[in-house]
Amino acid sequence: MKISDVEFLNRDLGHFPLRVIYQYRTSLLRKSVRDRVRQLAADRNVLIANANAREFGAKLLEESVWAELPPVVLCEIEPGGKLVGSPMDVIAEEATRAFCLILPAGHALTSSMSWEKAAARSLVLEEPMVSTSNLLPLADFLASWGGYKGVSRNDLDAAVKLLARALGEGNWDLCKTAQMLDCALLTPRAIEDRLKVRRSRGDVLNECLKDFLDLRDAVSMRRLLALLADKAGGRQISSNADVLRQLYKTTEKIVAQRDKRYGRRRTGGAQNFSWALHLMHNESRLLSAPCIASIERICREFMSVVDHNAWLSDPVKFRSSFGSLMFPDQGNSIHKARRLVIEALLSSINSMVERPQWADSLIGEILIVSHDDQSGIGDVAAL
Amino acid sequence: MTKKSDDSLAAKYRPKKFGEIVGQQNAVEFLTGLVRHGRMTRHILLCGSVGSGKTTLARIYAKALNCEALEDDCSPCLRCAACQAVEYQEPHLFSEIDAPRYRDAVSFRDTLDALQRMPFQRGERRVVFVDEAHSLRRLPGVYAYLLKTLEEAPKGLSFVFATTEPDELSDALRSRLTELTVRALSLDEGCRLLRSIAEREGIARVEDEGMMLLWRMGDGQPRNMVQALDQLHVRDKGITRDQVRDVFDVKDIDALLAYFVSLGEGQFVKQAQAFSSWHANIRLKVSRIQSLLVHMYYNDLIGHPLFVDAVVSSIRAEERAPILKEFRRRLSDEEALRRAWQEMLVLLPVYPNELADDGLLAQVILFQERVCASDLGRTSSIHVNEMPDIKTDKVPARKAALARPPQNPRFLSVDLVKNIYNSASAFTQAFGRQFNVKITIYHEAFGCQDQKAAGKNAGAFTHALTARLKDWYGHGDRLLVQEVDPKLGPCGRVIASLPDIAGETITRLERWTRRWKENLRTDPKRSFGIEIEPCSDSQRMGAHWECVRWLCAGLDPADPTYQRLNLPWRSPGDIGNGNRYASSDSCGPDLSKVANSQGFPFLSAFDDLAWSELYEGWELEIYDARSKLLPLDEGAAAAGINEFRSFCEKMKEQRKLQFWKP
Repeated sequence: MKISDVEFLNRDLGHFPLRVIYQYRTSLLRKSVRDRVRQLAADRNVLIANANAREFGAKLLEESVWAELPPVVLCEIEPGGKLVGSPMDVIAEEATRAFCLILPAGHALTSSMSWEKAAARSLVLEEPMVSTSNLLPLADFLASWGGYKGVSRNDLDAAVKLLARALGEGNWDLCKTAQMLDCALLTPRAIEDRLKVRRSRGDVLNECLKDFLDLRDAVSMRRLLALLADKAGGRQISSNADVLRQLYKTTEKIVAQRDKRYGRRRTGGAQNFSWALHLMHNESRLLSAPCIASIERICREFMSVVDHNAWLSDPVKFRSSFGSLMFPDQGNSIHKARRLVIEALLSSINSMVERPQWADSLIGEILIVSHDDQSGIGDVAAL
Repeated sequence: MTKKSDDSLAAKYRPKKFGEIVGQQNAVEFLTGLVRHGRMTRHILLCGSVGSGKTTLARIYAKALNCEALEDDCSPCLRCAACQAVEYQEPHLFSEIDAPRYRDAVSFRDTLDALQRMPFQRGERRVVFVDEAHSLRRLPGVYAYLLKTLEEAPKGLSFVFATTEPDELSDALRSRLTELTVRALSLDEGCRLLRSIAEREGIARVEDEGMMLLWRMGDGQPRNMVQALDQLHVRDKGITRDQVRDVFDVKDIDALLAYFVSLGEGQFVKQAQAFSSWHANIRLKVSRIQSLLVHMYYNDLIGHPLFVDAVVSSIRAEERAPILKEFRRRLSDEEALRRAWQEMLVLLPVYPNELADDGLLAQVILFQERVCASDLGRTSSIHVNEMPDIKTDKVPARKAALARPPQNPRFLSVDLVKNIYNSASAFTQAFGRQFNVKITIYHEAFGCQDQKAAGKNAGAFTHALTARLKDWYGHGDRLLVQEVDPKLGPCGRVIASLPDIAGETITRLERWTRRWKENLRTDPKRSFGIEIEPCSDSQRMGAHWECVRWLCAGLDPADPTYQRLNLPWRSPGDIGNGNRYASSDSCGPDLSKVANSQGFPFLSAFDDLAWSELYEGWELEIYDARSKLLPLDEGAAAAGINEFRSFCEKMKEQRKLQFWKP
């Protein structure tokens, strides 16, 4: 039988053989599941025998010398942990022994030959992914599990409604859902603010940057600068690195055309590509110079490019943009954001029906600099 | 554990209750919510810079979780035994762990294990606060250990991590923590905090610019700002900008201003002296120059407030005025000044760290040479596309995407400009006539000292002009916009329609204007107070639209419509409550009567955002058809009405226009 860990904790399942395989994703309920198994064993006057990964298979076959009933063999496997022998074979063949095997979802054991049979002879618990279809019962469970007192049904329903909007058509794991539920119950305004699409002037960096890239004129540049200056003065942006990160993030969206609001507008032109390269080229400068004055200059320099297709056709001009890729990726958020921009550039080129002349040389440059890079960019570029 | 006594302002005003925390609404709401809903514990990651208040939040949370007499806002009472125990960091309730102190993973693990093993008394909550958590990356295996520890933590135990570098923590660990960002304070919040402390400390003299500099010195972090304030306070001279400058060694503002004045004067030797006597690192000097250039361009020259940097923002407008005065002496007009500034903006390297000192100095010399050049502001060497251009063929009209900015009183509103365009278009459709002369009247020349008097003068002039033109030519068509010229004060800009612009016609008009209110003219130097400029564009309706564009040049450049109209740039100034606009009957609202009497409103390219049709002169075709098919004789009009209707529909279709409904 296969049920979710939440059901296991929340429902009385009657008397069932204590043969439990728990596939966890986030460990949020791991302790609770283990405690519940211990409680069930205690209710049935059965001992618990802890086993590590090395011992599990052998312990399942051991004869009990201490008690009338053999103990429940409890084994927990950490991500990346391996079992010795073929415990799934033992579980599949030996139907009498009680056990609780806790292992990460997608562990190699679940693709072994005897997995199906072992699963059929056990209670398999899975940690669910959360979508709008199962959000309500899971939120109910998490609110109670999380220890909330004095939360009314109305409060909870409002929180679920808010979470459903934030979730959209995506999925969250249980840990993220629990955190978001806390936010929805305690600081709903913060989520509302995030969800709100502010369309008034200067409120949306996406819109300002997109306009600037489309128009490349003083008016759209001023709007972009004013927005960034307001953010810096209001401390929504606390450092040059923060500005760069946000610009990268927005640029990635624009290059990848992931912003639905622009769905009906014309697709991105060469200027989006050259802006992305221009920004990467100026990365170290932007990090070390006065923020607004630097962006002002970057924008002016970008505006001075008359023909973006011609600019992109000369690799000498944009080669330096990838210079920072030559250095080891330190895994910080700026590097991550930059890498996403490059991936967006590549996937955008790959999705073009008719590739402009500069596309191949751009891919070639990325391939050269990402030759020793472990980020996987080279793989995308080679597609 | 004993507490050290600390008399600093930072210690004195360190928040002890949630309500005392300035800013951080989200973090405070989250923590008080946890307390309110059953004193819940969560594992939390507080992210924020040094001095932002992470430790303070953790301490208040720990007290509130255990307080025996919580206040209404869930703040701790600070008096009960539990609050005292947390204050003195009794480890069964609160422990602060300074992560960088641990040199190996074992001792760190031992500390945490010991804290977890301590028994809980009934209802107790325990907070383990790990400061500078990112430094744990040095200790092998600690992140994995923490993952397991968080999962297995006993009920009632909350781990609160604080870090300035959240990216240094492993993704897995971060995913297990509720992340609360402790933001630096905004300028407003920072000034509010400082002002409140100054009031409580009895500091009487407080200047906004001083606050702004303190905010900048503290980088918006409350503790740093209060520490900065503390340094001022001991001197007991109030919080003035100059005081902050002195204490924090921001003394180069005067040198910066002197340097800019010498730039304005255009004297290389003076500039070199000002630069060399300015005691600061050359990189700092160049950064400051660039920041002030940007600041003045946006705030002083084009009237769009932009916060560039707290240091240059602390320079008052009256301190910047002499700089502009010097530049204006050298440059012919505001347009030249603006162009000069655009040029200067791109001359210096904005990234001074990239160059060696010598290289940087060479750049400064080149910059100064260019600033001193006699053709500064008159060259077209700048390839920056500063003036907006029309790109109708590239960019589709996006009414919804470009929301209208709030009206800036310094500029003409887009509604007014729309009205002018539609009136000018309808005027030609109705009468076939065109505007072909621009007139500017400077009211101060007629002794008008305020805007009210200027308005009266404009009214008198336009009435007299209309009457005169009617007398001469049978019709007096004109549009008027009231502005404030940066040099010459309040003025009226008028466009009018003359039968031609032959020398004789213009001379006649000039003669009349010279005589108008001759006895009231106060300043003979300012010509005659009235300037006349005929337009002779030979293109179809070219002169007409040139006049209209000139009249509308004061539209706010921030408005998305500005770039569609290809307007010249001019700052029209704020005229207060006075009327901006007036028109003769032939171009005013009564014009619609003409159309209504014939059953056909006028067409409007502006209303349909058909920018490419705007200056094409199709109005003349409408006029031809109208006059041919719809004579004012009612009987004859009835016969031609269908034909005119189909003509209009055809025009509408061809040019994608719609009817204007005034």
